[in-house]
Parts: sequence; C-alpha cells; structure tokens
Amino acid sequence: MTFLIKLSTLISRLCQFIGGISLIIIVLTTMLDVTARYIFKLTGGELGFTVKGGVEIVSYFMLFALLAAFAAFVERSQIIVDVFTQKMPQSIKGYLMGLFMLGFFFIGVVFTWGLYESAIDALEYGKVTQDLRISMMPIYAISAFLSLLLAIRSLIESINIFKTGEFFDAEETGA
Amino acid sequence: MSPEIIGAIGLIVMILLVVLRVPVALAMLGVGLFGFGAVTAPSGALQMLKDIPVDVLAKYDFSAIPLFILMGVFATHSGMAGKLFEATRTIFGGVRGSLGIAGIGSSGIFASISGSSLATASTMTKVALPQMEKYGYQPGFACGVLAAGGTLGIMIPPSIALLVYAILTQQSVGDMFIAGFLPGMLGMVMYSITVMIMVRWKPHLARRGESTPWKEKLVSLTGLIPFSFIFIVIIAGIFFGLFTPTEGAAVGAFVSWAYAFAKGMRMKGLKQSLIETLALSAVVFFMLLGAEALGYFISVSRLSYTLATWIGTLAVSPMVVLICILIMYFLLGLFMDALAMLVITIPVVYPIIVALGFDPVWFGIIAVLTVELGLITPPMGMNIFVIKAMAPHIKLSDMFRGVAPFIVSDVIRLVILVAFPAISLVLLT
Repeated sequence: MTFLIKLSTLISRLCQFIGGISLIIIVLTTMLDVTARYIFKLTGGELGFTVKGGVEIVSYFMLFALLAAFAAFVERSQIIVDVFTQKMPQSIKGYLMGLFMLGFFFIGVVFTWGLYESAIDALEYGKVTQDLRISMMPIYAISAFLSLLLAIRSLIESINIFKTGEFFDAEETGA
Repeated sequence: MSPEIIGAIGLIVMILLVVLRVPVALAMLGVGLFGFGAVTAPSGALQMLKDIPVDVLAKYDFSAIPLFILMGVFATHSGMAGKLFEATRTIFGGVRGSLGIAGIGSSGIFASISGSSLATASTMTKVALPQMEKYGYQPGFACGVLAAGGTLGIMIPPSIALLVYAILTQQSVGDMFIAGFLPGMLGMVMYSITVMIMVRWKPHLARRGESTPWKEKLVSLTGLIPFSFIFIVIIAGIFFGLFTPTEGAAVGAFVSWAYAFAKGMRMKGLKQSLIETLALSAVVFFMLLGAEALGYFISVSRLSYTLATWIGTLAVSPMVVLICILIMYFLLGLFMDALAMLVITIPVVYPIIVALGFDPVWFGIIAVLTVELGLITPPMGMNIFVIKAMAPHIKLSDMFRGVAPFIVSDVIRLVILVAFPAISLVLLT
C-alpha cells in the first residue's frame, strides 16, 4: 500500500508540474501574441510580428493543463451535496467515495482509449493542426498519457479508501 | 419509451444521485452517458465520452476560465487586498458602520479581479475580520457583512459564473460582463445601505469608526489604482474588441503576476498560485465535462424542446414561468453549489427562456443573482462555511443571523432587476 500511495503522490506532483508549465506557456504565448499584434498595428506593419498558431498553442496546452489538473486533484476537486447525508456514518461515506473514484477510473480509461485511437488515426492519416501544421499525433498521445494518469490515480485513491477508510472530506477541512 | 420520457427519467435519476452524495460531475457524466446511449445507441454514447476531452478541454473559449482564476489567485497572493481594505476604510472613515462599508466596498473591488465569491470572501475575511472585531463589531454581523460582500464576486465582471453562462448559452462574454456591471454595483450600494441601516437601528452591532481627514482620504485613493488599472484594461479591452476574453484574462493574469512579483512574490508563491489555479480549474472543468455530456443527452431526448412547446400552450404569462424558474433556482441554491446548479439546469432551462421571448443576457444576470443567494442562505451557504473555517471562534448560527439582512437586500435587488431589465441591458445599448 505504501508503494501505491507513493506512486499516487508522485503522479500528482508530476501532473502539477505539467499543468503549471502549461499554464505559464498559455499566459506567455497570449501576452506575446497580443503585444506583437499591437506593435505591428501601431507601426503600420514596420515593427513587430504576428504569432502564428497562438490559438492552437493555447487550446492544446489548455487540454494538457486540465487533464493534468484532473489527474493531480481528482479526489479533492469534486462538488458533493452533503446536506441530506450529513449524519451518514463516515465509514459509509468512505465506501461511497471509493466507488465514485472507480467511476473516475472508468472515465480515465475511456478518455485514454479515445485519445489513443485518435493518436493512431492521426499517425495513420497524417492529421496535422490547422495553423501550425504540426502532427496531431503527439498532442493526442500526451493527452492519452495524462488521461491514463487520471485513471491510475483514481484507482489508487479508490483502493486506498477501501483499505484505510480515509478520504478527502471538504467539509472537514473547510475547503 | 419516447426520448422525452427517457430525458425526464434521466433528470430525476441525476437529482437522486446528487442527493445521495454522488459528485455532481460524475452524476452528470453518468446520466449523460447512459441517457445518450438509451436514446441513440450504446456505441454512440461511448464515442461521445471518448470525444468529450478534446471537445471541452481544448475549446479556446473555455481557456479564459483558468486564466481568470490565475489572475485572482495572483491578486490574493500579492497582498493587494490588505491595501484595498485600508484604502476603503480611510475613505469611509467617520461614517457609522465605516468598517462594514469598507468591507463591502473592498470585497466588491476585489471581486472585480478575483471573479470568485469564495476567494473574495476568504481573502477579505483574512484582512478585514480582525479589524472589525478589534473595533467592536458584533462578530456574527461582521461575518455577515463579509459573506455578503463575497457574493459580489459572482456578479461583478469578470465573473466565472457569467463566463460559464455565456459559453454554455453561446452569448457574447463581453456582453455578459458589461450586463453584470450595474447589477453588481447596485449590490455593492444596497449592501452598504444595509450596513448603515443596521448600525443605526441596532447601534450595538458596530462602534463608530475613527474619522479621517480629507487629505488622508484623497491619498488613500492610490490604494485603488492597481485594481482599477487591471479592471479597466480587461473590461474595456474585451468590450471594445481589443482582446478576446481569453486574451483579456491572460493580460490580467500577467499584470497581476507582475504586480505580485513587484510586491515580493517569488518562486514559492508562483508555484503555490499555479497549484491553486489547477485545483480550482479541475473543479470547474470536471463539471463542464459533465454538463457537456448531459447537454448532448438533453438535446437528443428533445426534452427542452418539448417542455418549451408545452409551456407555450399553457395559459400562464411568461413572467409566471420565469418566477417559477427563479424560485426553483432559489430552492436548489439552498443545498447546491452555484456553478453546479447553473451547469446542470442551463441545458434544460435556457431553451425555455428563449422560447418565451426573454432576453438571454438579462436572464443570465438574474439567474446568476438568484444562485448567488445560495452562497449565503442556510443550510449550504458556502461563503459562510469559508468564513467559519477561518473564524472558528464565531458560532455558525450567529453568522447566519448576521447575514440575514443582506439576504433581504438581495431579494429586493432581484425584484428590481426583474422589474427593470434596463438596469442590466442599458450599457449594452
């Protein structure tokens, strides 16, 4: 169990890193795009340049950032209506949470499956992005990998909850 | 079984699942998946689930959401809030209830940057509650002021809730933000008047604050500059078409980051801000994934269309239907998160509203205001819970008692906005 918990923490940290870097890339790309566009406009096209594919860069890094965020925080990013079940014993709440994490495991698996198929298709048919004309294969492959991490973390969290009965309770922490 | 019946059963099942502690996102995804499969074919449902990550998470319009969250988190970490409260406290110095008004004012201004009610309530509580307690404010009333002030974040642009509504209903984000401005300002003014009425009626709630000379008041206005700058750049930029909402959000995040850096935030603060942003974004986007799946299901089941047609045949005025919808929002708000409520109900309610001939932008404003009430009403007043977590020495019942006058103020504001749609729409014309 200790190994699984360590693995879960490691995956979470890796995903936080990937997500954080993706967010920074999105902010900087957009800033560069806006700045370059206005310098270009103000100087009548003499100075500055246009960032090609800015929208694509933002869109795909957003996909990475959010899939990474899902994997990193799956157990603590759920909104649960607790008002009718406040008096439910913690053990039952934990059991239910373990089941719900299996639900996210299933979702992660289907996402991985779909994105993996898309990656194979992109490779087979030479699918490229519209503006930058780069292959879609690595984009789908990275997304499939992050979805797989979501599935793995959800499964580990589920096993952990069933084994120990401990789970993240937003109410307890006041989060 | 007709698709409409399957749609109705799906919605009932989803409500039951949510009541039984199933995470809202999972309930929407599950019902959307199985419902879609029941109406079309299981393979179609599986394909829908496979396609959803790219459809939703790589949608350029959605990218404004994490960026606005990032901007708010940077603003929180930069220490702007402390300066803001100090500035508003000085400006209102000498007025009875000045600290309460300062709490409302600074919450409203901070909300303009953070876009989140919970972030506003927690940040301003950290800054303002100790001061209010020190100056003899009754603790429950002080918490009520800050909880109500926090709700302004959901209405004053850039608001995450308005942004999500705009995307779900394909309205212009700029229009939604502009439409939210006057109702948000109205809320700030009405909350301030509520504070003044309450401290005049029950003087034990708050001591008169120290008066401040005019020169000091003028100097303190400088404390509002960073907020005003970011707010004007974003809103004017989006409204006048200089930026897309995503670009506006990125510029706002960058400027807040630069300000936080200038105020001493370094690598540790940056890392913390990114992690907080990812965690909050995950909450919002899990629900948006669910809303997408549920939306597909509702769409193929033709439930909204059938409901809208049926309501059209009833001999009741559209206003009665609207009031029923608002009452439903208010009741759901008693036990459900504001954003969750919007993403669950919009696929069903929005086509009805459009079919009845109401302005979708105006409806967005009053719907968001109604769900905002849920943030401060028992038993699930999330703003109150956030404040309770930060001030465990104050009783929850005292907090709910303290916020009651502001609920009355919100209901009056809602009536005004329903009666006079021009307040929301005038800036758009």
